[in-house]
Amino acid sequence: MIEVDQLTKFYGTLTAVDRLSFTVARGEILGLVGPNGAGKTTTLTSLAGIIIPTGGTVRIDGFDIARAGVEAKSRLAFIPDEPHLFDYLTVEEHLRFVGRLYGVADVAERIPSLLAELELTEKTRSLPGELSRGMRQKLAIACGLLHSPTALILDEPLTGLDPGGIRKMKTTISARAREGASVILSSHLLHLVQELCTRLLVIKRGQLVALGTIAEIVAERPELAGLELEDLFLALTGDPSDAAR
Amino acid sequence: MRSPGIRATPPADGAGSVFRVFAYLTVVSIRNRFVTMVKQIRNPRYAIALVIGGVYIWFFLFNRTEMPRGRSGGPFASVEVELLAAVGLFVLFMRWWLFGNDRSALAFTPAEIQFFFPAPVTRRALIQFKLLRGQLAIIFNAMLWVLIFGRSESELPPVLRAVSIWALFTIFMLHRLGATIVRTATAKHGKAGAKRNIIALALFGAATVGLMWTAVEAYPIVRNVSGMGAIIRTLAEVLQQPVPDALLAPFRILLAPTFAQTSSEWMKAFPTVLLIALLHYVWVIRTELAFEDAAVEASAQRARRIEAMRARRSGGVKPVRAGNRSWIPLAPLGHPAVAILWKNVLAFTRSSGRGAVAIPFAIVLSAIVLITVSSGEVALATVIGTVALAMAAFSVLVGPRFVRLDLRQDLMHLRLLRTYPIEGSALVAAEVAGSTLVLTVTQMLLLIFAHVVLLAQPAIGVDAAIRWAILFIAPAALLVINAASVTIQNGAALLFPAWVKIGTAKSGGVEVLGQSILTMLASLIALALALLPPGIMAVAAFAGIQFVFEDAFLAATIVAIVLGLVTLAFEVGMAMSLLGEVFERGEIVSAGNP
Repeated sequence: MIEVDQLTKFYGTLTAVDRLSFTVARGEILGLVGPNGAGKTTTLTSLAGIIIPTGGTVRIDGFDIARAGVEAKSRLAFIPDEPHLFDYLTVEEHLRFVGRLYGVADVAERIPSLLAELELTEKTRSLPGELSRGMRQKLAIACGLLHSPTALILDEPLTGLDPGGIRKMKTTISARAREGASVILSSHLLHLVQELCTRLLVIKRGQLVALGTIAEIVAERPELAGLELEDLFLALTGDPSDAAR
Repeated sequence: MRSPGIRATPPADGAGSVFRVFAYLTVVSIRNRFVTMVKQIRNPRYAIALVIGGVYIWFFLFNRTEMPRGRSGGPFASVEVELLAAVGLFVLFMRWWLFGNDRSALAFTPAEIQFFFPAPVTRRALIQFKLLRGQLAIIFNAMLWVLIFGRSESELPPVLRAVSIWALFTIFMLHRLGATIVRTATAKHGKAGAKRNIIALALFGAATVGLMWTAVEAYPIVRNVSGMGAIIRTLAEVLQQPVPDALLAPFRILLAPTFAQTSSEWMKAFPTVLLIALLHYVWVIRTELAFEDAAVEASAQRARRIEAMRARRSGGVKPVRAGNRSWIPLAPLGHPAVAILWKNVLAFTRSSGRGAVAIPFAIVLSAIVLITVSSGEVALATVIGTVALAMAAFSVLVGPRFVRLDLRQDLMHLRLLRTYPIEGSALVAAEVAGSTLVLTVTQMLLLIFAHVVLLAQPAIGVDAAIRWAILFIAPAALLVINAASVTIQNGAALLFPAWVKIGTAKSGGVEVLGQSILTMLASLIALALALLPPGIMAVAAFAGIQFVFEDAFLAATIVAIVLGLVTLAFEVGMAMSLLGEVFERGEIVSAGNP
């Protein structure tokens, strides 16, 4: 479970995230959407323990990421839009490396199935420089999934993937949620969010604009009834005239 | 608004059009870079660094009282330097023809590919562009060489020397380009293509055999000579014998104007070199089709590398084939910090190629061979052993700046590292351990090499027992001292990321040079301060034991060294703990970070 309470992040005088509170239960996929500069990445990187929030708390399965970082992070996976890989580790070595970091005892058994799941089996001995953009993204995803995290944070995870890869990835995300992981998915691909996510968190200028299922959001804002998701998004986050078009 | 530097003319087909495009691109790029630099100077950090860099360059170029001099002033007046340069050229040309896989001479930047390749520009114009672009660096380098080495007492005006160097470098560029085009084109034809390289292979093979034979014959003469200057002079005499003289003749022709001492000598030698340069130009310009293939391939390789580099937010790492399974095992369970060390050591073996590990072992092996072959050859062994010792000492001082298997590389991946379930202090320790381990092993190999070489040399004035004692204590001492130095470097990267080069991205400029000098000075001061408490402890312990016990020199020395090292290790531990906090809590501020 991911619990976020009053999360706040200032960059100097700029408020990137403003008292954001929400919870993602086990098996739930929360879609995080918002316009550019809304604070999505700051929120996600705060949840992953990459940046230190100015205020508020983040708990992963009950562990405060600020106070019990190691315990919280061992249950967490953060998959960014831009894969960060080490130049001189092969695909397999990346997984062995991550396995040791997260203490995955049966890493040798997990690697083949994970590589097969992400169609990387033929690239086991390749270095990142020899992989295409999509394959590097798949490797980053494989590294994130290796230790079976109970909290999965994905920031535009489909960037660079081909249609087959996108389909596989959607299946993988759903499967991990069904297995009990709490998933946060940030994407500008609204149809993807609609297809995968059980709830929606809409933020704008660091503040919560809407939280809930689409039905719940519409119930709170009856004027949005009947709008397509794109129009709904624009109505919530953009210039009101955009939604009317 | 249309820029005044270029008109929208029909296809840029002729040399004039290409020149205009090139001139526009160059002038605007230089101007914009200058403007960026000026803007940066408003920041005090860049201003200070610029001043320091400028002062350094001024001292280096214009205010040196001691210049490298030959027999009659300046390296360009030295026959020995000329002969050795000819050998260097031979090796260079041989490398281009036989082993040359560096296609950067042909590669266009992604922007150039995007704008020039689809543009209505002929391939010949592209080659001209490529050659013209190369001229900028060549002219700059020619002037720099004359500034650094050219001030001598010879009668040749510096301008003529610069023109000679320009012609020489231009031939280098054209020949490398031509060789690469031919090699790329022949490589496309498989075995048939390889056969076409047979001429180069035969020519350079025969010449190499000739030179090697000369070297073998000359060995008995050289090994009896002592002193580096005498060795070089003897080598030069050997190279003037008929066979090597004939083999090196083409390269000496190329070098003749550069090493000319008078204007009349220059006038005799330069037309030939100019003619060779022109013939090279014609050769390269006539390889249009082959150039197209080779350039596209080279550019694609470069683009892939850059794309991969950008994706990784890393800088300019050569693509290295991993080959087989890694030879360093990693158990799945245990402290996670070991994984970081494993990764860095693996990166070391791959980034430097297999030679990274093989070379130190080859050094030790060659020491044994040397001792066996030349037992009793006092002078040469002493020189080589002393050089190895100097290298070890030098690497203790500057090694930690250059071996960067630590946070200086990994801060590029700071966001990723922060997601790992590992304490900050443990992560910093693991990162520091990578560079420390590599440095210590290298230094120990050099020490062992020096020890073995100097073992039979009583002349150096240090007792054999003391040499053994130093060798025995060296691993622990080097380990702790290197750890301290590397920790300081990593601390600088964490605390002042804008001052330290993160990753392998190369950047130039006077301000970067100044910045580098400043950080080096600061690191040395920090190391001196870090060594102060252990030094005081060691001296106090030594004096105390000597005061209490008589004739306890050995015991006092051992206790002093151990106490000093333990104190330094404690300091390093404390520093790692503090840096761990910074790693966990610090804001991500480095410009290089994703």
